[in-house]
Amino acid sequence: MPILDAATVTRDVQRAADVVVVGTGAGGAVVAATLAEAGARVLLLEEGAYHRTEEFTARPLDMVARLYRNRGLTATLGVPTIGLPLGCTVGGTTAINSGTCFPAPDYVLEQWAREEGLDDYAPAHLAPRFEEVSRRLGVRPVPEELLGPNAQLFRKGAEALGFAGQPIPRNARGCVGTGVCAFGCPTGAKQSTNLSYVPAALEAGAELVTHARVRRVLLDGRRAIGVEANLLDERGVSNGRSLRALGNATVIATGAVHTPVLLRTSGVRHPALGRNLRIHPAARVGALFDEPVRGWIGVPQSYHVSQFEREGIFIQGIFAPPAIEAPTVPGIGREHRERMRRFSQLGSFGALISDAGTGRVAAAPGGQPLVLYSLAPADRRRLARAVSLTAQAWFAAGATEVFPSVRSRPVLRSIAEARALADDEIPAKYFDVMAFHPMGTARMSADPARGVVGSSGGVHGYEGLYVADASVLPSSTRRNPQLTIMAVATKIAQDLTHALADPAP
Amino acid sequence: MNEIGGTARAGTEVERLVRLNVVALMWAFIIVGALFFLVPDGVVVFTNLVGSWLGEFSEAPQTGFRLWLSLATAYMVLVSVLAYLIQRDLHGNRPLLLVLAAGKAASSLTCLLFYLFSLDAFGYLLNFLVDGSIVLNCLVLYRVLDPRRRTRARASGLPRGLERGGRGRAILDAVLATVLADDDRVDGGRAVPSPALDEELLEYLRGLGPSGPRALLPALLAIEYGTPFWFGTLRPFTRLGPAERAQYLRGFETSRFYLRERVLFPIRFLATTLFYARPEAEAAIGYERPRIDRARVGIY
Repeated sequence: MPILDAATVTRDVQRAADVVVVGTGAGGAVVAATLAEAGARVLLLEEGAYHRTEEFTARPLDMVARLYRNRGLTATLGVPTIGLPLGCTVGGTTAINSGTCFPAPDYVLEQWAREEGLDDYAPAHLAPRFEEVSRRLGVRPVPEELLGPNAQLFRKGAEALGFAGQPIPRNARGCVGTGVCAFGCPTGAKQSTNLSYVPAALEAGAELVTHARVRRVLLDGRRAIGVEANLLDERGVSNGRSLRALGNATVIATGAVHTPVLLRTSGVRHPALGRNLRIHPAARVGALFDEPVRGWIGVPQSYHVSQFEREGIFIQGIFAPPAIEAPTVPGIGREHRERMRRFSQLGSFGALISDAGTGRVAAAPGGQPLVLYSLAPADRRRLARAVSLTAQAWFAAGATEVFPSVRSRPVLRSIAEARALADDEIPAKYFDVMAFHPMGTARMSADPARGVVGSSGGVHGYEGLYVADASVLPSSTRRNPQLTIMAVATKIAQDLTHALADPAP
Repeated sequence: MNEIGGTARAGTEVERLVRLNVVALMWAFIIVGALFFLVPDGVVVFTNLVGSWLGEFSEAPQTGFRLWLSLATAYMVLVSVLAYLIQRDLHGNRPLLLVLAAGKAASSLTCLLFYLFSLDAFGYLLNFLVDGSIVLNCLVLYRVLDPRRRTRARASGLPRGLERGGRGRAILDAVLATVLADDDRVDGGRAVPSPALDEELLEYLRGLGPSGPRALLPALLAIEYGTPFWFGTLRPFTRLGPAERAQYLRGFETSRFYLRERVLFPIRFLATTLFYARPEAEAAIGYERPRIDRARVGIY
């Protein structure tokens, strides 16, 4: 396959193509494959390495060091500090997510059309793209036999309380439920872009360069003519060589955290660039049972409660190996150890919220992104309710202790305590929160004053410069956004294909 | 490989800072020396003026006799040349830092004596403070460039204090033992050894770059010396008994003071993560790693 590993390069590299695509995640890989299949010469650049399925060891820490940015230690700056894991590998964050594939709800797409003038993204227009992406990725609900005991137990509790829930649709083919989706699928079942769209792009003639960290977009006045990148060694440190890639169009798809910084350091200016950051803050809610659960069996994120989606609350399975669960289990010394000794009796679900507040991404000295985000008061209350509902379901399922990731109430011992949590005024700093799905930092809008990019992904006021990743999403997708990013990227790539075939005079 | 790279970057970073410091000194000497030479009375008037703003100082007299000015100019040229030579070869000319410090100490101390026993002019006091600061600065730089320190740093690739036998390392080991209850057994008599977890933790942080392990030090010092404020004892953390240590750290874990909780958080996070990633720890708690049928990989 046409792959150049820049870690092996000993001289500066130059490339020319019709389109230069930066990033191989949910946005970039889809754009690259769609354009290459339409006959364009595509150069695809990725900062991380290309790992084959055989290299996925199912050992969490090994894989975190290889696949995650900053060894998994990326976080926001604010109150509370929020862990924000990001992928840094071919496949981007799709290689380390759980494979959950929901389309954005119709009411969100209608809001985009209404408020941002994005009629092309109304449900009827985006539906064929959702279908196309779902077909390519083999999206289907997790079958009953792979739900796993963790989800089955939680479902029992949720149903006892009357919460509506369903198995989660995922992009997996032949999944056997190894339970380590977030550390690179070791069986190649999860159809992350490193196994789906990137190979499709390469088969259609695209070239991939790995270990290439793009440092700026090359602008000729208001026209993008390509990018410059530092080439990296195996450790991700610059090896002193550089890449200059020229193209008629340049598509930035490095994710909502890095895209605004790259554009800004390249000289692109827009008041909305880096602002409007939306994330899905989440608290892990663990539960101890008297009987064995063996929560590691099956698909970790196999079932969700959809009942509270309109409130911006979604509750999803989230079981992880001991190394990842251990920090969330409360206690110091023997107290912690005794709880970990009962690891096989542990259940774990995630209480996620769709945020109402926003954050922003700034450029730190050295060009690294700085994510500034604090939980808004409304989100704090929503998160408390989400945690409370999740804890209630665990108690309804028979849990004896629940760990809600709230520092002022580290252990709950009854459903009454779980209910009371929703009414507590819990300060933001007491939540132990992680967040996923950053989006919105180069917002799409037909109005150039409101949005950084237009409905075809082109940066307002610039020629040949496009964005096609989560940063263009105008608001929170209110669900895991992978499928929506891919559908939007498909639309942007199709528009770009037309633009390349029929350039405006 | 990692260690060598990390150490090389750390050394360069320190040297760059030292060089920047000495270059700044050199330009300060040149500019101040030029001011002395070109507008000696202006300097006296200016320091008198600043002194009058800051408090009650006697006014320093101006003089038309320029012999002392010639000597002062020669001195400023000399210290500028010394700074120039030092920044050219930091390690080779390291002893010149002591020469510079000696000259500045003479200047500083004589001004102090004049201020105390001759005339309480602000110019004397100012020179005592400025040149005294330069003396301290030179001594610190001299120490930073100590080849023995460089050798120690190269050997461990770690900041001072976190190398084996260092103070920070002792605190880290005590924190890890407390967080993991490492003095006991995990599962009914089945030992789960955790040798060198500290090494593993530091190695993990080193993967983030040279500043990774360094970020631990303030947190460790806060834990060690926070006992008077948070535990009501003058004994530092490492001198508490095992039960007291656990109680003290539990206070961090559940603290409502956000910064205090954040002090322990990264260490507890990494300690529990790294410990329970070990196959023997996984086995001891009954976790079954997924069995991967490699023959089936890629057939879907």
